[in-house]
Parts: sequence; C-alpha cells; structure tokens
Amino acid sequence: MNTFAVISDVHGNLEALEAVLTKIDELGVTSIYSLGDVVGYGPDPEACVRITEKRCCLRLMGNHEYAVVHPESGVTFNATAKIALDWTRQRIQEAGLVNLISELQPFHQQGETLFVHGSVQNALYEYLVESDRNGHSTFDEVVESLENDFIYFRLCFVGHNHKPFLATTEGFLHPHDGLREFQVPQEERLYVSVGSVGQPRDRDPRACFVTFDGSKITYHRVSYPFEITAGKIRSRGLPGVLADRLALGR
Amino acid sequence: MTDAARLKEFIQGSSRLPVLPKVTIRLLNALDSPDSSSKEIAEIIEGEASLTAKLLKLANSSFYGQRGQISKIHNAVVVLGSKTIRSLALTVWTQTLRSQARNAEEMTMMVPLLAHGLAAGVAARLLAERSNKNLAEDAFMAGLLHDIGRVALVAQMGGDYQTQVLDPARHELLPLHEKEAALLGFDHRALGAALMASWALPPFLAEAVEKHHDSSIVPANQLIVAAVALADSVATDLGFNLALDLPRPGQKEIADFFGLPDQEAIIGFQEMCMSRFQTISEAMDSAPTERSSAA
Repeated sequence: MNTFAVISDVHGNLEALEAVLTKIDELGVTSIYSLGDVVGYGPDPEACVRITEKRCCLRLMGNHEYAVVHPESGVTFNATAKIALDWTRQRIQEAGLVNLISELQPFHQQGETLFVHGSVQNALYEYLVESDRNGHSTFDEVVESLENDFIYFRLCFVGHNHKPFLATTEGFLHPHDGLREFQVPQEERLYVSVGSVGQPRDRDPRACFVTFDGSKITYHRVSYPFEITAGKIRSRGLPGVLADRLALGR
Repeated sequence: MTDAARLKEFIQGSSRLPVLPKVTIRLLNALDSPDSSSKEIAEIIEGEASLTAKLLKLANSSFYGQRGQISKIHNAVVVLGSKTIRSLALTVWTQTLRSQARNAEEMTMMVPLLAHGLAAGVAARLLAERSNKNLAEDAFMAGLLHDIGRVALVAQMGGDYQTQVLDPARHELLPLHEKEAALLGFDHRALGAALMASWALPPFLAEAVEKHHDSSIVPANQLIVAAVALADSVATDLGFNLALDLPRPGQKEIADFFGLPDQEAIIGFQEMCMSRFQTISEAMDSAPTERSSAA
C-alpha cells in the first residue's frame, strides 16, 4: 500500500495548510485525503478550498461546507461559529467557489477503510469523543461501536473533533512528542482521529495530520506562524476568540 | 429514635455506600499539574493494583509495536504519555461508577451528581488558589467530596430518592437537604461527614461536608468551607447537579472575599472553571460549553 496522508479541519487557515503540505511533500507522500471542514472560522477559505481541490485526491464534506451550501443548517452553530459561517459563505460565493464544495460526500469507503468527517453513526455532525458531557469516559460505547458498526471496514479515519487520538478496543491512545507512531495489527478495528490542521484543540497549537503506510499510523505536528493567521482573523473583523484560541491550541 | 440514631442505623443498614476512588482522584490531579514528574505519576499508580495491571497491559498492547516487554510502571508512563493515562484512569473510574448504579434511573441521578463533585472540586481549587495556594489541593478534595453523602443516599435509596426527595423538593421548591432531613431525620451533610469519619479522612474534609450550606461561614477563618460553599453554587450554575432550579442562598460575602465582586467577575470565573473541568475530564468538544458549537 502506498503511504497516504489524512488532513482534516483546515478551517480557512492558510498558514497551517501550507506548512502541512510542505511537510507532506518532504515526506514524499503524494496521496492526500481531506476529511472536510476546509472552511469556517479562519480568514482564508477561498485559498484553502482552491489548494485542497488541487492537492487532495479525496475531499469530504464537513458540517461547515454543508452549512455554507445549505444556510438553513447553520442553526446548530454557536454564535461565534455563525458569524464566521456567514462571512465565509459570502467569501465563497463572491469567489465563485460554491460548486467546488457543494457536491462533496461526507464519507468514502476504500477497501477496509472508511473515511468520514464526523463519526460512523452520523457522518456530518457527531463527534468521536473520549468522554461525555459529564466527564465520564465513553470507552464502553466506543468498544460497542467498534464491535457492532465496523462490519464492512475495520479502520475509520475521522476528523471534526479537532483532537488526535486512536480509539481502540484496548483504550484511547494519544500521540505525544516521545511517541507518535502506532502499529495497526492485522484484523484490528479502530478509529483514527486525525486532529486538526487549522484549529487544533488538544492544547498543542501545532498543526496536526496523520500518515498511514498500511501497517503504521504516524501523527505529525507542524509549527506554523499562527500569529499571522490570528492577525488576519482580527483584521477581517471575525470574532477575536477565533484568533486567541490558535495560540492556545484549544 | 433520635436523628443521630437514625443516621447511625442508616449507615449500619447500608450495603451500597460508594467506594472512594482515591487513586483516581490523586492521579487526575497529578496529571493535571505541570509540576508532576513521570516518576510521581508512576508512584501514584503503583498504589493501586488493578490500575497498574491495566496500564501495563495497554503499554504492552500491539499498537505500541515490538518495544520489548514493558514491566515497569514508570516505563509504561513514559510510553503512554499523560493524556493516554488520564483517559485510562477516567475509563476505569467511569466503569466503577456504572457498576454501582443498579438501573437506568439510578444512573440518571448518579451521573450529574458525580459530575457536580468533580466540577465543585475544580472550582474550589481555583478559589482557594486566589487566597492561599497551599490549600488548593485540599480544597479540591473537599469540593470533590462535599456531596458524597448525597451520592450515598442515591446509592442506598435508589429510585426512592427520586420519588421521596427529588420530585417533592422540585414540587415544593425546597432545597434538597431540607427535604432529606424531613424524610430521614438527617441530610446528606450529616451522612457525608459520618462517612468521612468512618473512612478516617482528615477532619477538614468532614467540616467542609458538614458546613457547606451554613449561612454564617467566615471565609477568613474557614477558607476551605467557604471555597466549597461557593464552588457548590458555581458547579450548579455550570449545569452540573441533580437539581438546577431549586432555591439557593446568596453568597455575596464569600464571592467578595475571593475577589469576585460582580456578575462579570463571576462569569469570568465560571468560564475558567469550565476550562479546567474540561482539562481534567478531557471532555472538550462534548462538554456543555461546546455542546452547541460546530467544529
């Protein structure tokens, strides 16, 4: 199997996307899959759509693309996300790029691997999470999902939650700077949560993506000049909180 | 029968009082602190056999490849990293809690109650830090356990707590502890304090459990009790509690003491609490602040 890279949740962050693509080129990887949410929140949605359209062999629909194309679905967004969404929609429409995102699918199966923006149960909206809103572990539910839902595939790459981790029948495994490679045993079923390129939320501001060579998942973290992105967010009149969170990785 | 005798009888007749996951609490705290070393974390884990076994099993799982057999907990800590360990500890904790609830009805009471304890612990620690950093960890423990008596009541009474305490209190708009006392002759504070004593925990914990609803708390003299009293309220405001809409006393004096003079300051503090709660529970996107957001 040729090694491929999986990126997700670029969210209009051109600086992060460029840094990630440079790293992918350095690795010699040519197949890039995008799990959606290329737009939303960030200051450069048009450039990010154009670049991913050119560079990625698979592009999925995220809930932000869906909301750009279907304004009525934006009701589920919080106030900050809604402001950014309306701004993004206008930019995408004015740039004539609606057609590049309107026909995307929210999931794609390739052999024993499923690529999806959200989760197996709900491709567009549901989060794969480690703990519920009471702070309790979701491990038992995840194991149930791995046992019951993973029928026609055994690996599932997900985005949407902005956090890098593996959800396995053994537990939730997090990469860290001391260890970022995980072997994927034959026959093993697991979720690969790929993290976010443009708005990481695991308290690490570096852009995140994964590569998979058929037996090994590798998480990559790439530094990028987030202060430039943050400056653009402010100068374009988007909510300041969207700029602040980039430095915090949350 | 006197109220004290009724309390004693309740405890003696109780077979389902909660187990205290001390190791998990200490571990989550250590993982949350930037000052903890992997050696310290390993030492905490080594105090608990089943967690040790689970951690070693995970570190030796095939996902980590052929690294040779990892038999030392310290090496496992280094391989797994703090986020994976936190996640495992939470999984073990959650599974313990779930196994205590006998049915779905009990779960629906137990889950918010335990989240209330965790959120109050986080808030109490942040409050204590504002006044005396040395007491921050004690305040966390006190906040975490301040309603352990109510956890015990729910564990023991099951659905009866819903029908005999919770539902009537909501109907009559009475604080839960008044309804508990009217029904049982004692309330969750007295039961919690008695449990603390039976577990031989430090007396300051029993004091916080017993006095967190008092109206005459003097923050300067009772820092931890005051922190817990306010943290109790903050946790409820954040949406973590069994009943969110029952009357609660004002706490202006305590809030002033902790440097939260107005609504704006309190909201800012609540946001900080939520952020720390998320850190400790690693619940970020599914936690209440984010539940309506779109990633």
